[in-house]
Amino acid sequence: MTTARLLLDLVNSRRDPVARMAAAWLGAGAQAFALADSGGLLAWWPNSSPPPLSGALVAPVSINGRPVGELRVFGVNGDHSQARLKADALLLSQIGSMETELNEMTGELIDNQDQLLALYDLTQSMRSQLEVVDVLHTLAQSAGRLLKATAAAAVLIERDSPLLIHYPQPFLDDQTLLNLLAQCRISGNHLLLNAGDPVNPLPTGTAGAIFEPLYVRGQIKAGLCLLRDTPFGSPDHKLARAICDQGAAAIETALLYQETLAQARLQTEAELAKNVQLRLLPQTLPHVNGLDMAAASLPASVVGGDFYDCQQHPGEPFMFAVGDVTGKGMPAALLMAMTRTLLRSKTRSLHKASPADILGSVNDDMYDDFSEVSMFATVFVGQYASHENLLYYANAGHSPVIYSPAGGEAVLLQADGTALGVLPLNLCENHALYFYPGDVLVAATDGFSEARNLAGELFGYDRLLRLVESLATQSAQSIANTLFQTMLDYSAGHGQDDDQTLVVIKGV
Amino acid sequence: MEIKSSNVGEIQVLRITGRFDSYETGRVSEWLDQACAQSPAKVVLNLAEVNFVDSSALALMVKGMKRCRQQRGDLYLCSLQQPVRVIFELTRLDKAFAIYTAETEAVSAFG
Repeated sequence: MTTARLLLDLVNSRRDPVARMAAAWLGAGAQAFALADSGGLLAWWPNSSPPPLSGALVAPVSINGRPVGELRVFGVNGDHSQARLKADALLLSQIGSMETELNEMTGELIDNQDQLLALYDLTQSMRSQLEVVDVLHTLAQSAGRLLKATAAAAVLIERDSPLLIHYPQPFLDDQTLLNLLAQCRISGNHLLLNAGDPVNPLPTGTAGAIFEPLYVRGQIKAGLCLLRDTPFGSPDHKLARAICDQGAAAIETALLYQETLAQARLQTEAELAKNVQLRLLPQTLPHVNGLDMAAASLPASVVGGDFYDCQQHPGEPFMFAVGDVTGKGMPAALLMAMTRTLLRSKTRSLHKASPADILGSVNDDMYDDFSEVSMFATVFVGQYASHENLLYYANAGHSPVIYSPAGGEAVLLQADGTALGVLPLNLCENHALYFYPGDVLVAATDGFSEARNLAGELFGYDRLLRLVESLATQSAQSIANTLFQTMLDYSAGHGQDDDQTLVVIKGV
Repeated sequence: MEIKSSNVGEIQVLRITGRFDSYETGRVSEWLDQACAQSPAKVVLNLAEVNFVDSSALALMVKGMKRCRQQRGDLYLCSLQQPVRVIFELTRLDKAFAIYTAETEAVSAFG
């Protein structure tokens, strides 16, 4: 607003008091009364004819300390009149100053209200956005409009790859924006830049730039950059700050949503893996003359490294296996699937193969793979020849395998070979034991012997041996159920540390 | 669990104290990574103060042993307590590792 307009505005908006002031002068004998500024006469009384060009008493009028024009009175003289005119000018100056101030305050109020409304709009629109890209876009667009920027950009560094959104057109290259964000990260503060900044040169035609950091999860991970053809000041910074705080909250929400989504997807995949793994275990146990059988597996995580398998091919003895791949979860589950498949195919392809042959051959094939991922698998393989009442077995590092002869003391069938994947050559041997009605064999995994109670005490081999011994008269299914239930009771309140798997066979 | 490392010439010795299980394998794994980076990698794990090892710990020791052998060295164990020795015997890992009764014996076995 120019100074010339200020006095004219005042005359127009406060015509009455000015007219009364003029009337008072004319009543006191003045010839004429006028207001003028650098552009010439603005108003005069009596309005029948313009006042003469000279011979006036003059008093300057200023609004907020700035000269805006003068009062002129004609046909009066003397110190008294000069003083009175000066007082009138002062009064008009005060009215003018107050009027201007009121206008400014009203303007500011309207601006503030506009900004509040715009911020509210921004918050509303960001709340409904669940994609980080959309949030950044809204942030750049809204901040650009609210702060009357010629261009805006929002940048986010989440994980390693930066995400950059420009509005309406790219104005700074990506590297410059990332540099500005890096500077904010170091200083922990916003950046106010002016044209001619030696460190961060601005594009031609740009007078000022502001870079506001966004705190996402307690760290500066994002920023908002605005460019304008006029410099940015402190109120702009405050508004930009308010917008960025909203933006940061919206980014956090969007990130959280994405993570929840990813987690749900992973959960679904894990459930699928669990189903696949459960399908790999025998769905039903075969009927074998002379044997009562039960088997089950209870992984500690969704998927596990334990497995059991049973196979019966015409003309071949019944074969069963129990194994434990070191570790838990997905890596163990993958190797478990490989080991189980290889055991199956070896049993089929090696005609009349003994348990030790099968284990040795699987070790030959899998040693390199196991070494590659630093894992190994303990496996017990048994074969039952019903016509001879004989149980052949080989044990590659697996325990506990418990043999409880009818009416006798339960003993551990100890391994004589190392687990598969430990040594390039597996040296476990074949063993045989008579298996008559009433005899029980429990091939379990270390999830049983190493179950822990709240005090951290292991269930241990001795207790397990005595337990099997005491259950030996029951059916295979009942023995299995009681063993699982005992572990559950023992580790109550502690949770299952390791996968628990067992195969129970009983001579009938 | 606590670990304490020392050197006898080019032989690197690690003394482990307490439970050696899946919750505690991280630090031993890091130490073994560094120890196996040398060639020849000659390592002795002193388990005198270890009262329990689980399958994760066994897997870590097997991994260490294989890597030491690749680096023209070996990983020897010594001073196993009875419960730990039983675990090695049950899994037959006593066949895979050279196990000595005392640390000095394991160190001098490298010759």
